[in-house]
Amino acid sequence: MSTSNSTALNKVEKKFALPVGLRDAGTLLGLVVIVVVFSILSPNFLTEQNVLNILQQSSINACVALGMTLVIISGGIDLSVGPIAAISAVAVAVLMAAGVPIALAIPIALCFGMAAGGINGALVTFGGLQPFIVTLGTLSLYRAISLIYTGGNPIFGIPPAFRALTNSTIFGVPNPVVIVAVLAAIIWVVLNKTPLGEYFLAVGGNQEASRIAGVPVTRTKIASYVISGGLAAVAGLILVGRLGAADPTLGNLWELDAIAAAAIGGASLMGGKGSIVGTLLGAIILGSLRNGLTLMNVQAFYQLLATGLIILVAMLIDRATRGRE
Amino acid sequence: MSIRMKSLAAGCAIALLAGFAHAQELAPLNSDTEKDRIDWSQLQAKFGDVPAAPAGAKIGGVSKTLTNEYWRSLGEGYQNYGKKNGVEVVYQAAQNEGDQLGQLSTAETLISQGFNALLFSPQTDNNLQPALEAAESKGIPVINVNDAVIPGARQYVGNVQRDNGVRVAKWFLANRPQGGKVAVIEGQAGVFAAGQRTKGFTETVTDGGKFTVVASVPGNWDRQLAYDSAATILQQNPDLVGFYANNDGMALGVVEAVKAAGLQDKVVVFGTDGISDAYNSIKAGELTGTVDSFPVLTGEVSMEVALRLLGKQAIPRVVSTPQALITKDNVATYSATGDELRKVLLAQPAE
Amino acid sequence: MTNVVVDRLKLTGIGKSFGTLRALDGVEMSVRPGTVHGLLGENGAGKSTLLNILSGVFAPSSGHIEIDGVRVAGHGPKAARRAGIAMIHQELQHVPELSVAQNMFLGRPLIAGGVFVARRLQEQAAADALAPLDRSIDPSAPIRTLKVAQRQIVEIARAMMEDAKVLAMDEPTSSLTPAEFERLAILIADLAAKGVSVIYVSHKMDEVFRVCETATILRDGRKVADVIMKDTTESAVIARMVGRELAVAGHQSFVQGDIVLEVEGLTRATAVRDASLTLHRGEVLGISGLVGAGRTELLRLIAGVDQPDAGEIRVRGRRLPLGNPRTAIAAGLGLLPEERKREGIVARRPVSSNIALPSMRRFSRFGFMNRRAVARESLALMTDLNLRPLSIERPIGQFSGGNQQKAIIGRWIAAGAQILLFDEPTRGIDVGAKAEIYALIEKLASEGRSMIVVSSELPEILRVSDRVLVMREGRIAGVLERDEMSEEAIVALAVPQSAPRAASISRS
Repeated sequence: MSTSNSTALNKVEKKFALPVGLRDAGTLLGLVVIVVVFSILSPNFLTEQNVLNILQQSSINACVALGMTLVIISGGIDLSVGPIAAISAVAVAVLMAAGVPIALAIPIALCFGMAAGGINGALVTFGGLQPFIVTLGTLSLYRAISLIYTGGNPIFGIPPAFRALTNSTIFGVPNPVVIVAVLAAIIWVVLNKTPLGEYFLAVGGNQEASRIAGVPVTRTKIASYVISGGLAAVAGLILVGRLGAADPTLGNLWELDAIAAAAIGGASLMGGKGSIVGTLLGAIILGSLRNGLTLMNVQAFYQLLATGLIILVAMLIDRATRGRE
Repeated sequence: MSIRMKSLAAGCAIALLAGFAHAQELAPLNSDTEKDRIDWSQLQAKFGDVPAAPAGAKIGGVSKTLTNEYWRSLGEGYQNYGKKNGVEVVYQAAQNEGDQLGQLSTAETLISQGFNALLFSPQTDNNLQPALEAAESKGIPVINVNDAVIPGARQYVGNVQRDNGVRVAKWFLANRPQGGKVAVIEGQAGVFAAGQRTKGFTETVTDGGKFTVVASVPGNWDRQLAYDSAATILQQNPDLVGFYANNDGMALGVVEAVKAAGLQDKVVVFGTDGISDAYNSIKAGELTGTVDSFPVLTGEVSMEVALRLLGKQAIPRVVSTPQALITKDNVATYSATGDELRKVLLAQPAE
Repeated sequence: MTNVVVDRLKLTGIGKSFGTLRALDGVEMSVRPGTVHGLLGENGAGKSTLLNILSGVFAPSSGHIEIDGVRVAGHGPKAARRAGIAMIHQELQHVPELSVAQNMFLGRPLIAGGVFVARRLQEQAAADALAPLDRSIDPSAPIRTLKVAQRQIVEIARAMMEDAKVLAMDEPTSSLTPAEFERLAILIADLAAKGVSVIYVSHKMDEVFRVCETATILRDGRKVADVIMKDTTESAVIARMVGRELAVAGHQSFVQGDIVLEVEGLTRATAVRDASLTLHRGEVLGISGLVGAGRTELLRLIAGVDQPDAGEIRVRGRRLPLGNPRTAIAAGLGLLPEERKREGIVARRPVSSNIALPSMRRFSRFGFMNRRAVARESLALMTDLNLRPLSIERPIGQFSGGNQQKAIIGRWIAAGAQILLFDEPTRGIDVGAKAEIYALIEKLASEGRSMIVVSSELPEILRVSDRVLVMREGRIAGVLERDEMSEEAIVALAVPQSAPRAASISRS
């Protein structure tokens, strides 16, 4: 483009082109609106106990969505997060049942998750396959592994010490919320303060340009899937602690909730754009919605309707405020 | 007051700690074999009238999904009973049968709302475990209603899952004395009810050696999947004698597959649950039979047990609800509803 | 031609504001039937806004448009099309998998029997429309198989099919070879002879003077002059456009003795065959040749972007691992790609991130990025390169082409590149920015950096190069020293011997 209107449009865009913080402010505003509406409609909504409830209920989706956000930012998608969580959950349960110390079982299980993510990344980069198809394949593959290994039966006998890790609180805040908050802070730093984060954004924004500019594209992409696999594993472990059993069917449809949270938070499925704070807020929005509608005794079908509408409204607002690119 | 009640009182006092200790004592529940049990028809005789509900009592129900008629009917039972006895009922369900975390969130949200008792029908044996623990720590009685069995559940209302399969197997033994090949379409892998129903059928029907189970494949409660599996099985075994499906949705899918293969005169199909479509199909002569576990009545019995618990009655851990094999011969009798159906069921011999 | 009193196209007092910004202010313009009229101005002068108003994309804030003395009724692209105004965009908008005919009838297919697309009829009509322009285009071929020049012809045919009275062309030659431009010039003359008025927008002065009879010059949204081409000169027009005289500098050489880059027998399939070259410290080596001669491909091989089948590259005597951009960058090479949007910039990221991208390691400590250092250095570079606006956090996609180009050059300066590979460095950027890029190339050379510059514009090659390497069909056809350089000499080497017609590409 070489002309007057590009300059003109730039000037116009300046008003609309939201700096990173502003988009998050928009998501926050959405959350505030939802909270205000529910606290008016239901007196039980804004109690301390219920707020902790919402955070706890959102924490698992938030954890998965953090990794999903990185993958989406770098131009991919990870549909296999649920089964990766299941594999790690089964792994940790089997190890602990076999008498492996908790301090060893946890890192091993997380390695399972990261390895599964690494396989996704390797297939995408070295295999040159589309991320959607690769992870659609491993979605079934990883699920099958956990089902075959367990024969479809949940594994019980989780040591109380492990359960205490996820079921106790720190200063009244449930541990899963604390764990996910710490992870989110780390991921935020990775995305915003390290070269790797810059690479995620660059590769997702324009892979070819990044390659020519010397970005290690292959390593960057694999890293995003490894982190996503690791975070899915953490989510799986948290759930094992909460449920007291590792179910091989655990994590069903997690990928959709995680994508929804990331998208509400401002991630673009085209890559190159996304926000950690936004994703967290997106997960809390989804959690609040479900919680609030349950409090109001709204039937499941209408909850589904509300979730769908929220996603679409978020996207439309996003589109409207983004202006022309 | 029984030991259980005392420890419950203690649980209220020392909240979580005592509850946890108690949970340790409780043997993992197997609702089919638990010795501490009673048939629903004996409740009145043994414990007398249902105590009046406390003023403003609220009972919450969380079940699997409303896309399945069985769970809608169960909720209908809750509501019927609630209306009759002046108890407010809130009935919630997850968005689909795979939505384990969503169901947990729903249950947890209800706990924070001050219900007098909760009725849980979990997706899997363990996805509502944290909610159960949370409720018990607050002294809210939880009744596990049917299907998946929470190992730590203190109170269970539901039918004997194994018996479900046994009843169908017995029909085969009585009506197909020459034996033959049969196939099972199972529910979701890892779900207690699916496993028990399949086991009850398979063990009973193969006892005696005349029948062989040529296939036992998961249909995941899904009609389409069941249709496809059945079609494949029929292709491989055109001499099949019959199918047993773990629920009616799948059974109706199998019926279509049998019709498509043109084998409706040779292959019998049995389902489970007794949904209205199944009744219609039986009347139309397509589905051979279903094991009705009377969800509306199960819902009513669950509410009754809840009120009895609130009235401090020491109800045995498992209350078994009725079921019956419905075929063309008795479909008219069991089509009754409400009190009339109760009469029919009370007249039937207890197991 | 008949004498017509009424203007074919008349713009009266056209103004357009975006928020507080006045993009156009009281622009008047008239074009007579059968004239080719240039629309000239720097980036930001208002050319595209005016074209967008003409084609109905924007509604003017004030003023109106008349065609043959009749005011264009209503707004929007449809109204403009009904009035007889057709537009050919710089970046042609086609559906690549659809056929030529389908693209020509896109959005308003011929329908047979009330339901079905009459594919045969469409193809016949398309063939009829294409025939006077180019008989070699098959209406049933997918449009992606056509060259850019052919696609333009398809667009022109489409406009003719709609009986356009005014045809506006925005930078139609930005991706054409000289020979293709010649054909286009003839086509435009034919259209004018048939009475169509053509509005021609281009940065290339030589083309404008070749094609247009009259022109309107815009600056900062206002009309500064109407000119008749045969009565004016290039430098006079440029002075009007930029509002000042541009110094036309002569070539200055900074070549030093030592060789920094040696390429030997580099080969990749048939695109590049057995290419060898040397580059000295401070030297600017131009690469010329026809489009498709393998110039871009050679540059990509040297930069490690593509993997060669054979050959060797030595940087300061040291062998460079092939096909790896990262090792090439580490050795001090940097590529300014031809397709800026696709291969150069990460549009959404701030200009500072785009600059720092290859230098992440230098900009980070203990695994964390030193944002402050990035900001400081970007700002210094942007000031140095006269990059506007001076806002490091602004997404690079919002900068003009020339400024994006400067940012990518800045990227390599920041990365400490000593050998810069420029592929069409001034494509699609305006006259003023062009002069700045030339000055920058000289400055970089004076600092002892070496450059290889690929360009399709002969004047540009002649302006910046110390030596010119001419490619033909993947091979290096010859090298011209500074004193041997001329357009004729380059063309003689560039044109395949077997194709006499291509001699027509010589132009200036």
